[in-house]
Amino acid sequence: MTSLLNVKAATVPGRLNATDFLVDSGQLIALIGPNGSGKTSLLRACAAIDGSATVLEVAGEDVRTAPPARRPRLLGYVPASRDVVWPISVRDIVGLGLASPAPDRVDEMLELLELRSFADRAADRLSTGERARVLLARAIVPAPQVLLLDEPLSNLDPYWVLRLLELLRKIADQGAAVIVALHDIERIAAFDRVLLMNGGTLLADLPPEAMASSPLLADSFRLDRGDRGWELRRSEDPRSSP
Amino acid sequence: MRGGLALVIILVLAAVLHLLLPIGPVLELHRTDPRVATLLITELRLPRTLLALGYGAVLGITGAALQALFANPLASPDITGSSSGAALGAVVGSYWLGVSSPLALAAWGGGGALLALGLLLLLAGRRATGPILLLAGLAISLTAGAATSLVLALAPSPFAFYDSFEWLMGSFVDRSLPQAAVALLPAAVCSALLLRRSRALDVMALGGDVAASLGYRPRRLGVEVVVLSAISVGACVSVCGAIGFVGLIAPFAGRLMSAGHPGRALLPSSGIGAVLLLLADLAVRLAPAGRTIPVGVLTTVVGTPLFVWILLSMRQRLAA
Repeated sequence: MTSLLNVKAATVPGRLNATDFLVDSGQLIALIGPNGSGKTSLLRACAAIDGSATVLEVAGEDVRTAPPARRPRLLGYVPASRDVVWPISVRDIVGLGLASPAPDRVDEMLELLELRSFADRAADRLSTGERARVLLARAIVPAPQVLLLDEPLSNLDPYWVLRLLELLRKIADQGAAVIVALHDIERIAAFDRVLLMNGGTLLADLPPEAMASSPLLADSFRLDRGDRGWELRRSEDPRSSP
Repeated sequence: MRGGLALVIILVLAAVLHLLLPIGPVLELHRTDPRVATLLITELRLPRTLLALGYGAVLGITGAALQALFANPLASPDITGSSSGAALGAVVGSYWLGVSSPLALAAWGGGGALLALGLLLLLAGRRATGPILLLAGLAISLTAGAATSLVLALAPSPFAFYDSFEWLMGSFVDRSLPQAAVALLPAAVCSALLLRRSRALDVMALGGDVAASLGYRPRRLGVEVVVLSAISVGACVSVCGAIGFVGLIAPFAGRLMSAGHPGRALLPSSGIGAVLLLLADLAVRLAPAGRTIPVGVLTTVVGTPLFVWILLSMRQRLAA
């Protein structure tokens, strides 16, 4: 069986060392690592925003040569920034995700993310959490085969964190591959696979249970598992991290 | 749609009024010698109408494109320093290098504008915040303005200052049809190419990274928009001088017609820019006989309060 997402030697000079990985259809993957570990760079390289790769394919199709009319069907990318500069309506922002207009599909997304009540409001006037949902709707409206999300859970209230995880699982179940960069290592149990990054290198690729008990995880974050969850590592030299 | 139709009707009306008003001399000449009346319209007034219409459209479209590119409603040919850069280029070409062919002057104007915009990208970067963009543009405008004065002061001709006044302050008086063609033909080609980038500029509203992930090339788009804007504005400035604020105000109104979409605003902005400049040039004709008020002075006087209003509404939005 061929993989849905095939990445070989994805590199961003100074940020991401040559990284290979394969993702199958239906997988929901967490991407974790301390600040500056290269999570965002890996997502950006996969989205063909910057860096280089010898292979970058979705279902055997080269992402980089896919034109704007085709690209949204291959992959969707949502950056960590929730900025919207112009006073464009929520409905229109979601519509920008489509290469050609499809109002019914936009309405479906508005319903799914509970955005209908402010569909005609300017997106730049919404709260950060509401904008996060609008920008996610923009990414999933063309039903991409690969979804790359940078910190999608930040700025969301607890209801929406759980709703979003449920929604991402549903998208994966429908055959897409979903890769989510996360800060909260307590959340990895909800995922099928966990990729751990540090210093621009992919250190480990494990199921969540194995990752949770892996010394690589504790070392990367400079934490120890204590009686009441994660604790700061109290070693002789607190700077002795990889 | 209905707004677009209304804009077209207003534009045609403004152009016809601009061509015919004041109607007195035309009717009088028509009674004595109809051929002279026709000449008055085609040789004297037509170039002026075409230039006001075309330059206004260029300011609207380049302003809208630069605002979309910089993701900033304060970007425009004048605020980014490209108009001052174009004036400097044209003055250097004209007074120091003895360039007299309008086409070569337009090239010098375009070169100056390109230099200013290139410098701005270098200083402020794409997606510059409002204050950074304003300050970098101000620095470039002031430097180009001072350099223009210096070039004029040291020019071989002692009358350089005097006879450049009407040119640099922005005016359509006494321009010929060939001059209008030199300004407007390159500007029309570049504006058409800018219009083709409307969709890409709309997607840029989601940020350069998302645009790149959707298969657009933000860096290349940036270079294209800057070069096309510089050529259009440079060609117009080399014939008519710099005209302020139209390139700032027209896109603001254009986005009201495009539901906020910065790329789709290009076309309405060009129409609004043309109407604004036609009306402004009609207004300066009301000046007492024997006096000419450069149209650039009027657009600045009217435009400044609007500019302040945009600034205040941005401040409110930031505070909200």
